[in-house]
Amino acid sequence: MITCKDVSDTASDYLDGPTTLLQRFSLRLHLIMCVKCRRYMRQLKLASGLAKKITVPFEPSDEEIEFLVQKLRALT
Amino acid sequence: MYEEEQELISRLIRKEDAAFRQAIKQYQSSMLYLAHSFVGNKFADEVVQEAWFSAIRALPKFESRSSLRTWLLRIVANEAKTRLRKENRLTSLEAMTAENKSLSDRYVSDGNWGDKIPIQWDCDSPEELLSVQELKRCMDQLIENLPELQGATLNLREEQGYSLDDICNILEVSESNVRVLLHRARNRLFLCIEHFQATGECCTD
Ligand SMILES: [Zn+2]
Repeated sequence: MITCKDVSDTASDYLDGPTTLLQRFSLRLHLIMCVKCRRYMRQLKLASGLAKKITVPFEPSDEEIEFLVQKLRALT
Repeated sequence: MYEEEQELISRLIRKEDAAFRQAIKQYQSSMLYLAHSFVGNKFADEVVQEAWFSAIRALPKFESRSSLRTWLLRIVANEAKTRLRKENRLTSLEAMTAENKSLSDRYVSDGNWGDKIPIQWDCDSPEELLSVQELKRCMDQLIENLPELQGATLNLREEQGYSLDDICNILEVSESNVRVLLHRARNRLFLCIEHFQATGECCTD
């Protein structure tokens, strides 16, 4: 049986997909029985998904593109 | 896809304006985005411009072991690191991967949660969380101020959706370090939101 601290150590890996079968199994088993880690895990995922939403658009304008093209053309 | 990229590369080597334009349109925002997470708004443009110069010069030696995009981002990361190093602002990998005490201290010696268990948030989605203006501002600030490789891994993984493999390649760190960096960054977000939920105040204030 893994501990709550073990859950914390592997929680992030779990969000990135394939961990070993044993890891997944023991994590899931722990989560079934531990409401605190279930909460931690769910909220860690939520926190992590939030980064996606803070996106600042960085689309270059036509002027910026032309400016850079000029510079690249001038490279020797 | 591969042929198209090869074609673009040859045209870039021949210095065709149209090819420059196409490449900038395709890659600039991703490059700026990454540079931003290293050096912030102020220097991101400069770093990306330097990266383009280095890239165009080095392009004849490009070996297609990675995609052009990954290769360009790797150059951006290197330019950014060089810049931070010059200014003595480069954080050590040890410091960036060090355990987050304010989380690890909440577990007791047998590995269970101690008294400070995670509190229940009153939100179920990122959108809902970010609808609170102060929290949004707080998260912006926190992400902006993450140690550079934590910010960069989070940016590449969560915001731009790159695989761990690509991230290793771009940042030139091992996969286990990428995992640890992500882990640290995510937990910082988690702790900061939790703090906000408990106190209504930003963790960075
Ligand atoms: Zn637990």
